[in-house]
Amino acid sequence: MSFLAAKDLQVGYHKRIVVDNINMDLNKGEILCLLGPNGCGKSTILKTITNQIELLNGKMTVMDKDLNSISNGERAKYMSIVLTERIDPAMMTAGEVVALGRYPHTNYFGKLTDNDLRIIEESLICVNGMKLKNKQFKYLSDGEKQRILIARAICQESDIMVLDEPTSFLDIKYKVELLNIIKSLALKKSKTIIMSLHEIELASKIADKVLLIKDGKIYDYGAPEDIITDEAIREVYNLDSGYFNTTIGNIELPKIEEEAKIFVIGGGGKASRIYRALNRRGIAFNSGILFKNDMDYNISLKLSNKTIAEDEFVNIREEKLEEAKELIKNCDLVIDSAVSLAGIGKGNYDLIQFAIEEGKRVLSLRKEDIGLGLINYNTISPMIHDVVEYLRLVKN
Amino acid sequence: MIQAANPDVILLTASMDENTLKMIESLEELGINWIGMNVNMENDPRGRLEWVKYVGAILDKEEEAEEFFERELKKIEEIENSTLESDGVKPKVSYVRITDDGYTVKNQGDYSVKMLELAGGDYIFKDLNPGKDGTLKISAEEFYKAAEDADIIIYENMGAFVGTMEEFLEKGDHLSGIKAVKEGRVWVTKRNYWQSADKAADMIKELRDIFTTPHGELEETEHYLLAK
Amino acid sequence: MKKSIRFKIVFVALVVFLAYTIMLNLVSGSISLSYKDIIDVILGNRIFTELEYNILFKIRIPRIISAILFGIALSISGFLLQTFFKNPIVGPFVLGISSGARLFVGLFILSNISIGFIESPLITIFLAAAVGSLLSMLLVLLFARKVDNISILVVVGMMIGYIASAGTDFMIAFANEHEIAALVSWSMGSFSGIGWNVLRLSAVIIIPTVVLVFFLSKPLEAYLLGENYAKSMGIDIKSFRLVLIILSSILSACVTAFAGPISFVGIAVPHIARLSIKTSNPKILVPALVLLGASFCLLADYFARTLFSPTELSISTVTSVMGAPIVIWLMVSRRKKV
Repeated sequence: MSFLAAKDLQVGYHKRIVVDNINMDLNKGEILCLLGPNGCGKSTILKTITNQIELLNGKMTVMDKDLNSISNGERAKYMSIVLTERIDPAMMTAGEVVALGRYPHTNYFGKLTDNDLRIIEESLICVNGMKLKNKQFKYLSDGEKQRILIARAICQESDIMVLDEPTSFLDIKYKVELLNIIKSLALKKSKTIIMSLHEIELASKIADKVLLIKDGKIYDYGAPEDIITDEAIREVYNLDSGYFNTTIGNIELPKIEEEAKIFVIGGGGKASRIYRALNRRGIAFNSGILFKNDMDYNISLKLSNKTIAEDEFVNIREEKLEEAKELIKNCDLVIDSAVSLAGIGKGNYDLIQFAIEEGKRVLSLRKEDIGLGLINYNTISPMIHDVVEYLRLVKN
Repeated sequence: MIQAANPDVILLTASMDENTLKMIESLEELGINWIGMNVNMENDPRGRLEWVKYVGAILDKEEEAEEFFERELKKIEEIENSTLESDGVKPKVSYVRITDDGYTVKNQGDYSVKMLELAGGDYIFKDLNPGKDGTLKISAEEFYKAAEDADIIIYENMGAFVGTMEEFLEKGDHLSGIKAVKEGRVWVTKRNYWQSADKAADMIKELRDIFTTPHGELEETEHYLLAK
Repeated sequence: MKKSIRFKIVFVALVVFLAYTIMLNLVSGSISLSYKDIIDVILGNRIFTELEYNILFKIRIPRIISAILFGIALSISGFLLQTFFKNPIVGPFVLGISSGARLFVGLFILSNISIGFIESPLITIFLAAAVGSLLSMLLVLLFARKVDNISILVVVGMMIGYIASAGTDFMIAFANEHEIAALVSWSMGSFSGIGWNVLRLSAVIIIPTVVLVFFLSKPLEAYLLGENYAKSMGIDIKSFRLVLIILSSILSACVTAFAGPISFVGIAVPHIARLSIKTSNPKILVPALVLLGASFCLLADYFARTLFSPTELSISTVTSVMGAPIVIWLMVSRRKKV
């Protein structure tokens, strides 16, 4: 049953519509992420939901009760917020900041009962903040401040929590921690959470629903697995140079559009780093033979000029080998990523052999010696360094 | 305004303060003659009167000025003599002006104190800045303590006019405790007080009358009024 | 717990300090009474002479009470303004609000308007000051909307102060003599000559207002997190802002109306209080401000009265000398942190 719903919302400032046609429907314990480039209207939507700015049109309901019809005080019991704005309360401890979350629940004088104190402690424990309780809020790091503000919102014991870019000031350790906290709040405490995010890959890991916003319009709304596609991201974020790999959840810079003089044999999960190093040096390359379920396959498609791929779990067929051999003929150098050559990977062994017979140098990351006269390296960097050197020599 | 009146000369209290210097500048620009006349620096009322000779010189009425001065001087001499001859106890007197920010009394060197002394009075603040003219702001307490045995208080009217005892008492609850109030010997200056520089001798005489006339018989003089 | 012990110590210290400054003012002045004298009187071993009685009860005690009342009013007024502007470098004087109040009282004195149904001229003076305060406050707020920077607001406040002075000078040019004297003397600021009826009226205005501020502790604390968070916790921001401004203006208007403009108390005292108690919790800070504000002004008045006896310094002079270094140090230390 729907818990929090928005129907045909129009948000904006002073009668100027910033985003139109917002519709969403959340159950209790669901997480909604707003995604979109800067200036698309995410903040405006959030500010409207949290009543910082006035709703222009449409209706927001909690269990069919219109959010705009209730008083500030009542609203506080339904919804708590965590904002991006930096606050600077003088002479306040972290504990006092969190304690303010009890505001809608305490009496006229703000007296904290034992129950209140218990909830405050629990909220702090939730964010791993007990150590910070008696420290001055002002002197905490950005990440610590963020956690305390989240604790405060938890402390308010509202069913709905709205967070505006909560991961922004956090480095990776705290980003991960934060997402865990949010996930646990949704799962264990059935909190309905709305947040805006910059990091697309995080959204797919944590959101139950996603609102994709582009230029003041709702591009799409739905479950992340349905709507976060490479194409959608490309469009919404206007990526014209590079891609967002939604499978991996990572950006890739565009491939080098030149004639490839390097061939990288294999994947097996070991080739991506080689692809990236080459790409970074501006060196075009071809790659194969990769199985379609290989982790390197996806990246190869984006970075490699040509990718020779074989279906999963079958032996490498003859025509694939022929294709690859053709490419190898035209290459100056071959790189062996130390992919497994056993079983279905035997085809790659043939390729290496072929390359040697063609008189091509084969640089390899293989630890064991397979007796084909490969030039071995322990790490990628020196190998790439030599590639670069070699290509320069060849040019001159 | 000054230009319109087109005076031949302006008599100016010359001092070093900014406003005066500015005024002097403007006058010189307008080509109006000015002469410094610093009557206010005189400690002695007789000195002040003597300035009339100065004005007389400017206005070419030296003889009249001389006459006036001699006359007035004589008046004062008479008073002085009668004072010295009498052996009565000198009444203790004080001036005071009360405003929102304090009690203002005269320094011992001020000419008005001299007037008081010539008239046979004993200024209760005679230890205050001897030789210096002008006024000093003191606290309510200090005034009260000193005024405790003052026989006569002379209230200098400068703001809202205080004419009755009630109005005087409004200035402070504690004033009802001082001797002069209890005996009804609080005098106030009338509105013409400040313009009467030339009447100094007369004023000294009035003061004498105030000091010597038994209480109850005199209620008003030309420049002073008994607060009732 | 460490914190509550700290609070207890500081409060005891504040109470002792207040008692000390009260006693100081009781015994010092033109006549010195020793503590022994006072105790003797209480015990019945001695009675006051008429001189002592009058000075003590009719001059010193009213003065002490006015220093206490007005010190409290100014401190709380400054505190409210600092909460509102989220900045410790504001106060009723610095923002030009006292000057605006003064201008209006001046206007009132000169134009001799009396509001028919209000009998007491005192109340009308207070109302004139209140109107002046609110109008200046409005001006400052108008600027505050356009400009985010607090330093600009202080400049605006200074300008309002200057304009108000200019206005008063303007009026003086057209006033007649005795009105001038009244205006000039009043604008120096003094606890001198404040009668019991003024004290009674001031107490009626100030004490309930301060109590009200104490009862606003809950929203005051929430407000420290900023308006957006405060609103999300249930506070009606628009009304609350209004309340802050009105209460602050009432308090500073009361002081300005009856004692004249007194500078720096509103800025310095809240800061000293915050620093010594190390908390922003209004439930603790407000009582501390009451104690400290009273002591501060009592101390200032003591210096004003006795430093250059028999002459008296204007109270603003002393509070400036006491308060300005604190404000400067404040600004410098803030810079360092940023």
